[in-house]
Amino acid sequence: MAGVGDDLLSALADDLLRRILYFVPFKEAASTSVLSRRWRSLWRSSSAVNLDVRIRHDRHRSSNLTHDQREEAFFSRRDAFVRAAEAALDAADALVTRLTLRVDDPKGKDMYKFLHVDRTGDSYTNHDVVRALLSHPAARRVEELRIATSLPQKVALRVLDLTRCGNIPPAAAMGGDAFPRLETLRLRLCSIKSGDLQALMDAAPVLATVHLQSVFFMCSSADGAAAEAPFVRLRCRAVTELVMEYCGMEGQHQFSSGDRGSIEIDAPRLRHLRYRGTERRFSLASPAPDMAVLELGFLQDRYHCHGRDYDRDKTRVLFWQFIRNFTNARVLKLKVNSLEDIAVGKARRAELLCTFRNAVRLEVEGAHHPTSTKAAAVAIANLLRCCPHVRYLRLKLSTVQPDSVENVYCLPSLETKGQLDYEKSVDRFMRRRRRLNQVIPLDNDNNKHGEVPDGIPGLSGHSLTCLQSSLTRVALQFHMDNSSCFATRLVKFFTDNAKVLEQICVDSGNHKLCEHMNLNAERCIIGRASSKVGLKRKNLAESSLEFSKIPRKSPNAQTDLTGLATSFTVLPLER
Amino acid sequence: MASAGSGDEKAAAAAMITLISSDNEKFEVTEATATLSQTIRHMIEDGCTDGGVPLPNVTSKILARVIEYCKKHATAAAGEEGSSSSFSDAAFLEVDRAFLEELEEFDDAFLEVDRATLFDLILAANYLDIKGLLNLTCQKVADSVKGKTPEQIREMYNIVNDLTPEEEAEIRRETQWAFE
Repeated sequence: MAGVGDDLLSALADDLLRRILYFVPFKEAASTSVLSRRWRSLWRSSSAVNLDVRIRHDRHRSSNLTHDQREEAFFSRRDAFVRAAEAALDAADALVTRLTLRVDDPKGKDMYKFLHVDRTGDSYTNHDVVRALLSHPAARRVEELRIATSLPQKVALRVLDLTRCGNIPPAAAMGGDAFPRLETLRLRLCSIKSGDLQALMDAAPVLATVHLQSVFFMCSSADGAAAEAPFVRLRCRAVTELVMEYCGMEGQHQFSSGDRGSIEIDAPRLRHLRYRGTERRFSLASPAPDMAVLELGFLQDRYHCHGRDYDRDKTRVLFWQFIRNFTNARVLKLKVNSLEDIAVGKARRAELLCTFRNAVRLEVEGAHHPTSTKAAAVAIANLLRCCPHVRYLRLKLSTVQPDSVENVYCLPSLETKGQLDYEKSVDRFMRRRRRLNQVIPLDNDNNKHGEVPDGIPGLSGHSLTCLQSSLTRVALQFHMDNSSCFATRLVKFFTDNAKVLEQICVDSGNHKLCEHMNLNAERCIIGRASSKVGLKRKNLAESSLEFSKIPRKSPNAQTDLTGLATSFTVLPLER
Repeated sequence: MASAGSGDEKAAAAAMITLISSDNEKFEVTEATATLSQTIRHMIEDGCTDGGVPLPNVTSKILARVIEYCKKHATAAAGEEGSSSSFSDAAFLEVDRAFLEELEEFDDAFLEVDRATLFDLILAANYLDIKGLLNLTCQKVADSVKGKTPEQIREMYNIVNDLTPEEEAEIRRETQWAFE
């Protein structure tokens, strides 16, 4: 490593050395002052201070210190860190634009004590290390702040990224536009009062991106009355991207009615929303006309779902009420535990369904009952009806036993299931290939289609606008088991009914065993619809098949084949 | 570097720029790739890129790596060249998270170079004014001194200490907190 003549570092200009020091933790940066004369004061003008500290403990047993002595040692080390940090800020003789604070807490329980508690005599008082450091005059012009603790007050701040903050203190005291340049706010594993978050958002007029991941909303003392179902209301009028994943709110488990609380967002400029988590009421306080992408994943609460009062209809209503807020969306990515839960029968269509006029891409993921597939088909039909101009459809289907949500949580068992699927799939594929090669020539017009019943109850027979004019690409992904019949029927349904289909991608099972599905689909298409669809090209090496399809309303298909034929391909789905 | 533009139809239609390394090797890249460099961007804006852009400070070995970086990150900036290439709707411009992760992996792998190459990359990134690459490479050097004493840093980078013992003692007194 340390080769003689390795003077690469010294060859760099001072500006580049400062650029390197910009990323060096504060103590190492300051210690470069004794490297040589040239380095003596370089570190002072790096315009960054990277505070880095690891909370240390005196071991209980190995030292014969008393509790008080250990506490004393803890706080004196903490105070030494604060003094060093202040000294580093004092020493900065260029504007500090980057300030980072990284507190490493190996035991994971002393962060709060380290940052927020002061010991004076025998009593503990509130104290705020972070605030003390951030109010240092040298930190006045910080543009980039990375921190793992409580709220700073930084005028030039553009990105605020907080992880594992126990109890984010109120920002209300700051008043006015305390964050005039803040564009991005990320909170992860934090808890905060919704009123405090609102105050923070109010203080950031250009806030455009908000990510809330595993954030727990605490009741503000005023609206904490337990009689009311919990709710979170946020007003963020400049926000264009909002992500809420696995967020919780205080009081959400108290209600045996299964009410998980509600969320109301006022974000008229919203373009991208991702919500993942428990089922909740969700509403927009004002329309979001520029909405482009909606990603919704409803996860069922395990306890909730096993409860007596589990109510499918509640899921259905919450789901449709959620998405109808976003009828301008161009891309919909929807994930539910069970497709049955979102199927809407004729009687309630008018009440629940809505139309996504601009939607061009629809992705649906969910499980369906292994044997009775009608409800799943109805759900797919519902969604296709809602998206009259959709061009790309992606369905990811799996089967679970009804009432077993465990699958969602127990990944190891899913793995095992995947392996079984795979083996079964290989087995079937081998058998099928033998049979195909021997018995069924691919261009055989003989209808050997007994396995695949015609049509899909719940889906066939509806007139769906998107099938007539817009749907050009379909992707299907599913697990190989008894239900493959449903998937095969879906492939056939789309090849038969989607008039402008160009491509259909299929992935059957967890291990990309596409050949089987292609052969199956091919047979099904050729067998059942030989008058309309013919095999044009087959490329087994790439598992792709190209079909030509003749529109239905051409009585003399034989006469002008080239003019009327459209073609589409069957491809393995890339994941 | 024959694959400049990575076969993308749209990129192929875009203007190409020729970069000439110090050892006279020519690299043809798309404008989108080249303009990650502010230096080249300004030259394009001034219209002085006809006949190629000579880069006398950058060897072909380093330029090839720099272009590799720019191509990857230019694709990221364009956002869309992911999976659904046959769709050009604005709606598909959404940031592909998987791609961002891939980009991080790319950056990590990209930094797996010997120290001399790393420093050449710093110089090239600085000369070409490619901010992302400069930060990436400087961070890598910064990481190498993390947790090291001044003596270890001196040894690692062959830095000659020209301070007198008295001066060094004085500095250590001034910034005593850094040596605790």
